[in-house]
Amino acid sequence: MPELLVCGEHVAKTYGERGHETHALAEASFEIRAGERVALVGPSGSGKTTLLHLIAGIDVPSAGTLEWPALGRREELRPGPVAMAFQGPSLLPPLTVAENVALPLLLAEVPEAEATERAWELLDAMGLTELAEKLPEELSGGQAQRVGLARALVSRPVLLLADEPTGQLDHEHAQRLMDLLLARVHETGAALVIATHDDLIAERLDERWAMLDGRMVAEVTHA
Amino acid sequence: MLSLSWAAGLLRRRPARILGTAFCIALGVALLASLGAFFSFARAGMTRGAIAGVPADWQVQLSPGADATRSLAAVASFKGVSLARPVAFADVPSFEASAGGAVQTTGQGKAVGIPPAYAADFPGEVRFLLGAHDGVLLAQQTAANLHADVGSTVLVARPGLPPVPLRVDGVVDLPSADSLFQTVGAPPGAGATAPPDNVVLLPLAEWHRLFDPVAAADPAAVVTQVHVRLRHDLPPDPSAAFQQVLAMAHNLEARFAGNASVGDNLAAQLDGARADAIYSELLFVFLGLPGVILGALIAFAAAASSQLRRRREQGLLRLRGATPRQLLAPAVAEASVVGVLGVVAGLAAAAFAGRAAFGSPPLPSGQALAWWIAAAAAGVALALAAIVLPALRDARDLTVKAAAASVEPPRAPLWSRLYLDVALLAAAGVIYWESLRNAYQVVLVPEGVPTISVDYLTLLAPMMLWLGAALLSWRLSRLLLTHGRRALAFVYRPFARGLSPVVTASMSRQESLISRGLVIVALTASFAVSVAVFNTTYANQARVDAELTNGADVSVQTPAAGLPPALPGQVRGLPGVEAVQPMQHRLAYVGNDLQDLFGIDPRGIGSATPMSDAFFQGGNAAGVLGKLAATPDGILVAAETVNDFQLQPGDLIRIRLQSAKDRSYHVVPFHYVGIAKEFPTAPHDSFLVANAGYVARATGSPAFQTLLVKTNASPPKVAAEVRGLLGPANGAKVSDIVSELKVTLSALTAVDLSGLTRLELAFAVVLVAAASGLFLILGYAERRRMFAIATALGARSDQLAAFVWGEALFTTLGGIVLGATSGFVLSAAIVNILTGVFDPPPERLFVPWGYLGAVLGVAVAAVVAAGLVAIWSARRPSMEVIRDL
Repeated sequence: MPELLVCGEHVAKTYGERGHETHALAEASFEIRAGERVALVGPSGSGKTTLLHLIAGIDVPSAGTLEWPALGRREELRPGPVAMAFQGPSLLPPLTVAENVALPLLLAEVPEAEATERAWELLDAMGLTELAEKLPEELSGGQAQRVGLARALVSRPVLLLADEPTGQLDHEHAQRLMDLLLARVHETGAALVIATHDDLIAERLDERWAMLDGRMVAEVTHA
Repeated sequence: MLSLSWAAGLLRRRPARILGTAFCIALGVALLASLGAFFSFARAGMTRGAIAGVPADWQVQLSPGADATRSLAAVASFKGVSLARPVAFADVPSFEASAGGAVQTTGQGKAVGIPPAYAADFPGEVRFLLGAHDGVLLAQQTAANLHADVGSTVLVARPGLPPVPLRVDGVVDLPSADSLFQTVGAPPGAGATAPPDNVVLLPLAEWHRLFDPVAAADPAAVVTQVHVRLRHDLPPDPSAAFQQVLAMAHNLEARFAGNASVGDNLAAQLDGARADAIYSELLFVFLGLPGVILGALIAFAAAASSQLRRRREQGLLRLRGATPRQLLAPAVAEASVVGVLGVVAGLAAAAFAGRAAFGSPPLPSGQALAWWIAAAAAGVALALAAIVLPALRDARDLTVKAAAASVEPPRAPLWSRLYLDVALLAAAGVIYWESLRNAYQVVLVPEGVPTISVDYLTLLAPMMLWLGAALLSWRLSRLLLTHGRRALAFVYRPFARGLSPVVTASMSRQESLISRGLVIVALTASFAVSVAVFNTTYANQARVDAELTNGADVSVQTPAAGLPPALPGQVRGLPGVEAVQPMQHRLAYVGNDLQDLFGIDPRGIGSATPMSDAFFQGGNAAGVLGKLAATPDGILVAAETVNDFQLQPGDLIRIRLQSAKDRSYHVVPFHYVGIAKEFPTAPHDSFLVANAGYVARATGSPAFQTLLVKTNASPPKVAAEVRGLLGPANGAKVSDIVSELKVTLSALTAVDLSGLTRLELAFAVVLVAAASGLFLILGYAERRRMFAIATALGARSDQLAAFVWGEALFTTLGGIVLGATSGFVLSAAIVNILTGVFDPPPERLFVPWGYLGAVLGVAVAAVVAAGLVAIWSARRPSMEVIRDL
């Protein structure tokens, strides 16, 4: 059986003060193993992004237990074995596209020359070379999303989390991006969790976790 | 409605942005209101001081033959007069008294008739020294001349009548003899008349008994005056008070239709205060205006630091179809909240600062109130200009796409393209050198009478230098950030390590924001350094000035033949006395010019009073005094005398000195050894300095008239002890430097700078803290999303710190180095331009290292605190930001 990367039991997340709480994630129990490719589906506000943030270690659960048996402590996840592509604009405004993509490597103390080289290679592989010297504000929403994905991929993570990575792309571009993404994770053996509304995207992954009102209501494994 | 909800939302969700900007507005408002209150307070103080310095406001002199009783009644009932008392003067050909078998006779003098309680009604005219406070009161100088004491009989001569013997009831001093015996109604330009050496005060009835017969024979031999105290409900401004008093005096003279002239002592004093007020304007231009500009710039920059965010917010509203009015509503709401908070806090701070720094009342009135209103209006205007105007411009000119931009376009600002910095520095240099070339002096001292000559163009030079240097700092910052990234990355490598290229790249793309921060720090540092250095130099020179006038910490001077020979030994034994030096004072003829001659011990004089290099020309103090000591018949003369007589070092000078034996003047040979420009107790015009031993031999008397005392305790206490040693009858004047510093020494020192200094130095510290720390915090608050992303990507604390410290180091260190440099240059320029107000000019700048070290410490502490808060918050990004990713 593949290595267990993440294990969550009755994980919940509540925001706000007592009396004005928002239950972003009511309850979720799950496991993610090496090489798994999971689609996290559900309507807006169902808790997909919150769950991704918790898995990535960006946020901490209010209840339940969440562990990363093969990845280490929460503080050691990023930059390192876990990477995340965010839903909203998340590129650092004063840095160029190439600098944004190289940033996780520099944060992981990869030498500057190597980090720059790897960033350019990846941009080239993703057809983004023309954008390398541009500032984020010069990009379209779709371009920014693809650069965000490149930044998540550059550190060759063991677990890649992507929040609506094709949300601002048309169908054709979305499928091409998925091709690229799946090829990359296949190549590195990384596990992949994608939050998406797009059934066509979800269908290309091994598993589908359905979320509703902050609860994980179904786990479907594709044949 | 949108405005209200937006304002409420900002206060709730963006408290740092609102409170930070409001704090900066408050700083500007507080500074302007405090400075305005200070200068109003200083002007009102000048008026109060002028009023308090006048013993009798008016001396209304009646024409011979005028009805004294009716005139007195008319003056007493004149509007604005609170007290009117008759005073009569008569010429006395001589006074005579016998003491110890010898008869002493004086020259001409005056007999003055005063009403009962005159001394109480006009304090400052008569000071009782010995004996009774009424009856026949002999002036101290006259008593000394006649060797008379209480109980002595003095024969008072009367023109055309036999002399009358009068028994002396008391001895008095007449501190305001100059104004008491002034020539009332003298034509303009007429020189001041010296007061008589010999005076006797008589009860008015007694005077009439003795001198009415004189008046009957010769009406011109007597003068009748009405001395007046006015109600002092005058405007606080010296100029307005002067005009009002002058107009009242003219009105009185008009009512008397030529039968009375007003000796307007109060207007004369207010006229002096009016000139002093010009100095307060000068000081405002030099010391106040930069602070006000700085306060405004900081407030403006603080408000502008949120401009990108506001632009993005406006962009969102535009996307949702907001009308132009709706687009502006949030900006107006923010400006209103910030403006109101800033003004309220600023005025509260001004009230506190004014009370703490110079003891102003908590609530202002008059001119100070006007300054407060102006400061409040400026605060609101500043908030509107900094927040609403850019929003208006954006709403009109920007596309939605541009409004959403997170980085300002890298275009050089207009001033940079016009090279305004270079132009300002060049103009400042040209004006400065031109003023030095033309020997421009703010204060001209022709024949010892200070006159002010204000050339505001020259005064603009320091302001141009300050602003030009700031803009040049901006240019250098831009250059370094855009073209020196590699060098900067190399410098940052030790603490940013592998992130240094990214840190410098980030700084480079935020060049506008970072350069603005650097310039504000530079302006603040420049302001703090220049104000501190100038004020310290000023305070030091004020002390030197006071030492020059007073002679030493404590000085004893007698107009009589000499001080008791045992006095130096006795004073040396007093507690708190470090050193004493006797100094002779003689009058000597150089050609036909009568000059003061000081006989000193050149080797010892420096132990009792500081000998500044500025006192001498053509060498330092030690060198010139050494030459004098090595030449027993050597003499130091004024530069004017050297020019007049074409003297060369070593030249023989024949000077006539009075011999103590026959009271005649005899020629005494001296050899010219150097030039003295200033000397303790010496007048502003020409004087001579020689060896005391040689002067004693040449004049046949070792008597000394001045004793200079250096203290290591409180000078007023030592002065009191010395007065006790001398006794009340001696007549010697004992003065101390602390009291002298409080007196108006020169026009510049009329403005008590200590309150302004406290105010400005305190504000400079707060400005430095705000400029360095607050900007970092505000800048961070605007970029917290960026730090949140970096944290989400896995940046550790030290890696986030690299971004924070990278910016902080650049703005703070760069700003302080560039600002301190321009501050030192600026203070040197200000001192040079204002050289004329220093007497003597300072030999060097006095740098308050302790204060500047404290300012640096505050700046570093503010930056470190702000940086730590920024890093701490970045490690714990708010849920709002995280969920937004």
